Amino acid sequence: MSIIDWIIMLGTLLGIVAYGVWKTRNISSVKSYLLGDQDLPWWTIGLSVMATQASAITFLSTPGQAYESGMGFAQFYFGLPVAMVFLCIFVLPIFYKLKVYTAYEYLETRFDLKTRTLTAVFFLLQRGLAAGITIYAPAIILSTILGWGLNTTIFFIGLVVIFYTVMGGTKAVSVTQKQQMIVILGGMIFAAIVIVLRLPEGIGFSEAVNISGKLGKLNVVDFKFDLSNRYNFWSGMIGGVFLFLSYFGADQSQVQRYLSGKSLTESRLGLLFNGILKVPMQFLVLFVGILVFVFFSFVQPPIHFNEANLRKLEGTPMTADLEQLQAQQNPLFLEQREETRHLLTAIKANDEGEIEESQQRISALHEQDKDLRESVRGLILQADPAAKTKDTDYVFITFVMHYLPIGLIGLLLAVIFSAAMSSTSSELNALATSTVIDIYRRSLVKDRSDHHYLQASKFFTILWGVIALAFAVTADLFENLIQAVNIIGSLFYGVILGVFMVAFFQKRVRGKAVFLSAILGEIAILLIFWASNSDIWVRLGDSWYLFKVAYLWLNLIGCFLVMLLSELLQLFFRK
Amino acid sequence: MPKLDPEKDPILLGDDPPPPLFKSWNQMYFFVLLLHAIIIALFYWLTQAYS
Repeated sequence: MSIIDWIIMLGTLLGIVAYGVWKTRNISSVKSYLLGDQDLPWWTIGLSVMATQASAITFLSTPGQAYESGMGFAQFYFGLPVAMVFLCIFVLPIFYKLKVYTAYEYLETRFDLKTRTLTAVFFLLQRGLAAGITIYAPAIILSTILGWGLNTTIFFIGLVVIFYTVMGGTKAVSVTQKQQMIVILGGMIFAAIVIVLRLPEGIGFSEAVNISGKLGKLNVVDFKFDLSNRYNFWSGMIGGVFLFLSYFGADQSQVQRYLSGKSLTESRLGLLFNGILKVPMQFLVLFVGILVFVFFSFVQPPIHFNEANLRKLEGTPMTADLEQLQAQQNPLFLEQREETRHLLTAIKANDEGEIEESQQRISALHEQDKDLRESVRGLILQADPAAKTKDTDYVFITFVMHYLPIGLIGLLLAVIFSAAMSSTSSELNALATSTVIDIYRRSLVKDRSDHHYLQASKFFTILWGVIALAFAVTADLFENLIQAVNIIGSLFYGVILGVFMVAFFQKRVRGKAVFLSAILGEIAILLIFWASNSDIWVRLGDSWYLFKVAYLWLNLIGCFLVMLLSELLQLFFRK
Repeated sequence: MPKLDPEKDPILLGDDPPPPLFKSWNQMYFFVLLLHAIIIALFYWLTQAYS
């Protein structure tokens, strides 16, 4: 990487951090520290909400996902605008009326202290583990690309985030996120423009869209209802609404963003801004992946995108095998490139028969290419059985490092680091706020000075930062860790959402019923999860079925269980 | 901490000012959802037109 890229990357990152620290230098009360003076306009709230959700993995993995499977992932976000409208109508007015610091505080006014504490603890458990992953996951890829040690990368991201989050609290998080989001959106738009400009002569934007469409990559919307298909219109609109209601309505890392608004109006506009912009932004990120796919249809891509994995083969007996596979890929790529040009000619001539034949030939060539890539993965696993051979997360960053001009490489790396920092800072800030407001000040150390709680908030931000760092540096010791954290999230999210849904809509239900329902609901969810992983067969009629519930469904089941149990238990308690 | 009784003290929606550009929040929400529907329709057109 050139010195100019280093200057741009570090200058952008440190400039944003310095701006955030300077803007929040006069913070002196716990309210300012945790609610950021509540003076933020809607666009800062909207960008901050988007930056919290968009982690670095969004910008590393999503283009790779489009490169491999097309645009269908955009449907995952279809429920988000509906969830935003729901929150604006039913949730925000209550939080504003009660002037709460945390979402869980509301549960005490609606139910009781034990329900508030229980949901806060569920949040701390789930988000505390996730914070480590938010640092660890992009650090693996960035350390490979930059040639830094994994722990160096983890500490670089973690310490910078801890520094400015501790210094300026919520306001520092929000003002830095506004700048970070501007860098992120600007960087991705620049990247898209440059990819189009770097396409070979005769291939422009329109040709790129035509080619990717005919090769099945522009499959954005699929209306077919299919439970086994993870991304279709219905899963996005039904499952997505529940997922985003729980994430934006009951996860303090998001709630804290919009509670720092100047007024209810500004917070509502911020959420609606997110509702309008999120789907197009995700479309843009996926579309960048599609453009990279078209680019690599004309410029030969590496046989495996993770260079660190290929280096594992150097000096081993498998080197000769790799060279042989590479020798097979070279003519295959040339044939594929010619066929893609042929497809384009057929598209321009509007020759449907020729288009179809060309699509079939390219599809067959892609299959051969896939086989070669699979063989390379096999070689890597022979050299290192513990190696992670899935390389789609490296597609976009490989393009950035090898084909973007000097200057833009630094900007795009700043995009990825900014995304990692913005989501981590929100998490640490929310964890510290919930710890201080829901546990420490409420139940452990009461009636102390404002200064004491300000210092406690800073201390807990550091403590959660250290826990996240410790988790991140030891993460590679655990197998399937990221999936494990996602599962842990699904084990708690549904129950937390259920408690909030009861609070908002089941007005007869009181604290005792909802608290017991949350406990019973959580036990039921843990049992379902255990049964799903224990090869248990159940008999329905004359047939036997393997009991298996995918963990994403636990959100929905947990929520409905708590709502139903609360209603039943309330009837019992009234008697 | 003061208790919120949802049966006596329902969600207060009445006294916040209307949003910019629209006369009421309901119109604003309708606009957001309509825009979302248009975006999905555009995506669907893209899927059909280029597949």
